[in-house]
Amino acid sequence: MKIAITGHTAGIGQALANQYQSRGHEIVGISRREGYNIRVIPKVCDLIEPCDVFVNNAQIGFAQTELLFEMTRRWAQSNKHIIVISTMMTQDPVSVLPGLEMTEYRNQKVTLEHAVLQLRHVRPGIKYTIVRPGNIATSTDKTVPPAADVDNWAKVLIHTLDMAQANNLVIPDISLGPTT
Amino acid sequence: MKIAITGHTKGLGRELKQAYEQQGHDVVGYSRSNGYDLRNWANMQKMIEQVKDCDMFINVAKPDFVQTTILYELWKCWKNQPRTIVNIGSVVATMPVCPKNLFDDPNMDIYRTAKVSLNEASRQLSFKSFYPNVVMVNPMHLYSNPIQESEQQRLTTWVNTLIDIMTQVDSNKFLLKEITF
Repeated sequence: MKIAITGHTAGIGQALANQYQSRGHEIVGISRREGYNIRVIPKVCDLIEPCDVFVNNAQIGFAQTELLFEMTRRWAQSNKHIIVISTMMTQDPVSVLPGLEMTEYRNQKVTLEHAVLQLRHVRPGIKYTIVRPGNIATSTDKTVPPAADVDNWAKVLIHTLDMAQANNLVIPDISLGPTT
Repeated sequence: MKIAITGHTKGLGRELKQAYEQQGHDVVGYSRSNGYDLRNWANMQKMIEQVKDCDMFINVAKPDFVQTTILYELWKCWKNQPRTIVNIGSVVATMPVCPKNLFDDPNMDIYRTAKVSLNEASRQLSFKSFYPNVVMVNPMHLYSNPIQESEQQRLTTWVNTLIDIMTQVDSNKFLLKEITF
């Protein structure tokens, strides 16, 4: 399969790209480090469109949500798969972490999940999986000490998604984090 | 009062500006027509800098997710100050989901998502600190850009009602947090 991943050069995106690659999939990576800005929606969507799966991972403001809407429009007639990387933080009714940045970050992720629920309701066809990582080690998040290795996390996640697909099961959402 | 309004040249924003001006308030507007396309980060920061000493900010203009971003940026600037931020959302944000054929508008999905974002941000910020007071207003069955005379009249009445409610609440030393009507 051809899999598009935004933010594939660091953290979760990189770990997922490595896992997919080791399973023989072709990766279409879209990252700032390679000169792509996910805020330029049409250009990024042109790269994603010919793929089978879109891992909507990189986050800057509301760009993740905007990409989700545009790819839903472009893939409207298909049953392709969009994997949306959110955060376990959305499962808390309030933003408990200090600092306004985290409240804003959480709001962007809540918005993203709301968009998935909305689109699922009105646009059947495309499969959406919301993935909520817990506190796992990524190079971007240095505020809290990590409790799980990102490569192991990615391995378990993709194994789970593959198992489900092989058995004709669907995973609308999954929260996966360390036990401690 | 000194009041700032985004999107003050048409529809709901214009009505609000006129109504407050008639009551003798000092109203300043920001929209594309006077060089404030608020999708542009520099423009937004320039506006935030200029509205620093306003008593009330009315967040009307609605390009994409810009309203939520404005709310956060202004809140940072006004933290712990007894000022008021009024966000104009939509009744669709209070519905569990946007109905499939609402107005037959394909952009209704993203419109609702943006308004949900604004409602959520408003609640989170109210939870964070008492001031500034963040008010979430969700208009219902209202033509914000009226075409017919009757729609225009309805909008005018709605705006006057909102101002009346907010004034009443304020003069009785209550705080208004959310209202849908």
